[in-house]
Amino acid sequence: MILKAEGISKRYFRNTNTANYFYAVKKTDLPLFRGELTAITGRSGSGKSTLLNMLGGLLSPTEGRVLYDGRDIYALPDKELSKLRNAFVGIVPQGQSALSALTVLENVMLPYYMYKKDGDIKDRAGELLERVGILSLANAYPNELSGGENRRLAIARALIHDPDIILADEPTGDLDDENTKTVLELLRAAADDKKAVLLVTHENDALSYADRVYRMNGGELTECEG
Amino acid sequence: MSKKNINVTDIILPIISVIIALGTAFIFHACGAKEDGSFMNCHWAECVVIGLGILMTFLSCAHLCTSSAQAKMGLSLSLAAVSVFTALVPGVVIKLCMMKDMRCHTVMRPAVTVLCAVMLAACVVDMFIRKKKGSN
Amino acid sequence: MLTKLPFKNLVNRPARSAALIIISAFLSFSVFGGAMVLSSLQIGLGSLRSRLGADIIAVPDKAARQNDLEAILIQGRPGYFYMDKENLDKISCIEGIEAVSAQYYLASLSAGCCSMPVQVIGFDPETDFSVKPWIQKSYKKQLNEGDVLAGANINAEAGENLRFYGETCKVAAKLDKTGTELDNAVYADSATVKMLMAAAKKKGVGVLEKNDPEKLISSVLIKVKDGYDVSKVSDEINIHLRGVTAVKTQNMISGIAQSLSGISEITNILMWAIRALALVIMAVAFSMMINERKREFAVLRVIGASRKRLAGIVLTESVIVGCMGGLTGVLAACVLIFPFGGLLEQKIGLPYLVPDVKTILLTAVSAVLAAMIAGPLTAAFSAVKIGRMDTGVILNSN
Repeated sequence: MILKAEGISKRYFRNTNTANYFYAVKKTDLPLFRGELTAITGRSGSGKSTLLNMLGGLLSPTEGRVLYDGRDIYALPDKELSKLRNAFVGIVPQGQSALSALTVLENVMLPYYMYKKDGDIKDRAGELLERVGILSLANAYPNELSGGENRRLAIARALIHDPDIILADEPTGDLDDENTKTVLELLRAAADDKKAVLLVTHENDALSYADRVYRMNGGELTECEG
Repeated sequence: MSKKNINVTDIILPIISVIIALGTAFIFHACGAKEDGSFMNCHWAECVVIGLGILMTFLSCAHLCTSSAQAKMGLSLSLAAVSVFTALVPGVVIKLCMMKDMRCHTVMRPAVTVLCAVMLAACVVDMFIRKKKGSN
Repeated sequence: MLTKLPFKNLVNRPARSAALIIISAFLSFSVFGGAMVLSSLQIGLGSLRSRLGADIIAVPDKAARQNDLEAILIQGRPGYFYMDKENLDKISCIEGIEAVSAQYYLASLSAGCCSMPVQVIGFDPETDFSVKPWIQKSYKKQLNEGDVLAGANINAEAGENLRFYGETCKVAAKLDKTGTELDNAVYADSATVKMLMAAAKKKGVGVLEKNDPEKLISSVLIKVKDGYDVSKVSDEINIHLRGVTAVKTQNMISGIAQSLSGISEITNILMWAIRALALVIMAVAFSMMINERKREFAVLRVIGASRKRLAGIVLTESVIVGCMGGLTGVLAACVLIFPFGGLLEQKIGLPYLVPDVKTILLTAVSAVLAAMIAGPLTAAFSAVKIGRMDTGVILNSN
């Protein structure tokens, strides 16, 4: 086990002045294992993405802890947590997530240069772009890319640091069949490469790639039997 | 003429030229005629500037219309030279009125100087862009 | 690559960046332009004070009533008036007077090429204490008969000839700019000016017709001894001399000083209004920009940027915007203020003398710095705001 959620929940107030609140994610435990692709499925608004963001260190839970290698990541100061996310967690956010001012290649290399000034990552970035099949677009800008190409760019960027954990939020949303297949195969390959992969999706096709499947419903997570 | 070959400067050059020609004639013109109807020196300076402005308009329109990179370069260079000369017309080439608080000194000369400086800068930028494009 | 990111962000959105740069250009334009105009007016006033040189100027009653002296010295309307030369000796007898010197005013009808009349101011080289110190900066030699000195606004260089009343005068030197109406006059010693007066008489200039130019003066410049009250001395002159009015130069200048302080006040209010407005617009623009780019910053958080790093990117962008806007504003102000200085001087109607290069450069640098500081200052709130934003919420609200 590399990443573990211990009794985490997220509560939102409907109106900040009253005690009128709801739980986006109810008290949940979730372990992620190396070499496994874990999938969470459920309708939109069921709290899947909220859970993923809490696991990725982007959203602090109302209760509970997220442990990475036994350390509570939300106990770390912002800078440490950011560094940890940069080095060990690759996140593929929902939708278009590239910086429009940078080329495809620069977008992929950006996480590497976040805390390093020297070193050359160009070759590795090129390899990753080749692996996701958009090397020919290395010098293009994100607005020249299709949705599928943008998603593949995000996957290449998530892999640049060779992270332990990959968190993918609806990576196949609004993609055609062929692109969906490519993206899922890439995530499967990452899991086979000894990474812990979490896939949040509402498409049932994706579940066949998973080792473990959970279902989220109204903020409640239940494991589905294989 | 391919669309890609047009720069911002292609458009700016004729605009400034027209402003120099028409502006000198109607807006920042020199002192008016004397009471007896005769003109002072600055009037002739104004005429020369208008003439040069018309010349610049022709040159810059040619610059806009031609597709040859070399011709554009040459036209930019000659426009730059004409703008320098034009800037020198009021005051240096042709003497203006006796009192420096007269219109030709306070309005026409600075306006012509500033416009010619802008013209020169635009020409330099144009040549620079072309050189950079050519080397790519 | 991360260091280049703010720059690339600005290049990527040229319209947005240009708008921000133009707003901060307004800021530096107002700082630099306002300071330049106000200090030019201050220097102009100082220049006028030192150029008038005298404590009191005595003129004929009629000229004093019609404010002819102010017209010539301050408003730059060429004119002339005369009184008997005897008055000079009478004034010099009054107690408390250190020095007196006569001046002669003559207005040319038309000076060759121009339709505008030119003021000729004659001074007595033996006794003069007001014009000479100024002349000596440009011309140290003795003036020959027929030589004149041209004020800075006269478009004639040394060695050229000017014609007055049919007489040809050689320009011996050009005087330093004072920024006052004195720049529009031509200066000559008494011998030359009398020759011109004689020529004017021949041409039929009314006042001169009945009188002998040799017996006429226009005004008497008076310097009061230390320890004596200028007002008392001027009262003495007004009591004892008939047909003569003593005008205190301080009174002439105080009118200008008053309008100057009025203009300064209005300019200051206007400039501060522009600055405040520019700052508010910039703050709003940055805040809007951050809002629009929320997702971009959320993505940066996703790939591991700390809150501090995000604030750093925003602040760096604002410094670049401030710097470029500052330079643009100063450049625009230079293009407007320096070539069109003559027009500005005319429209304001007050003495106006541009400061020296060092002062100009210092003011320019501080204007650019002000814009550079204003950038991050107005972006600070937005930088704090993006630090506080909830990345998860932004990414989810797709």
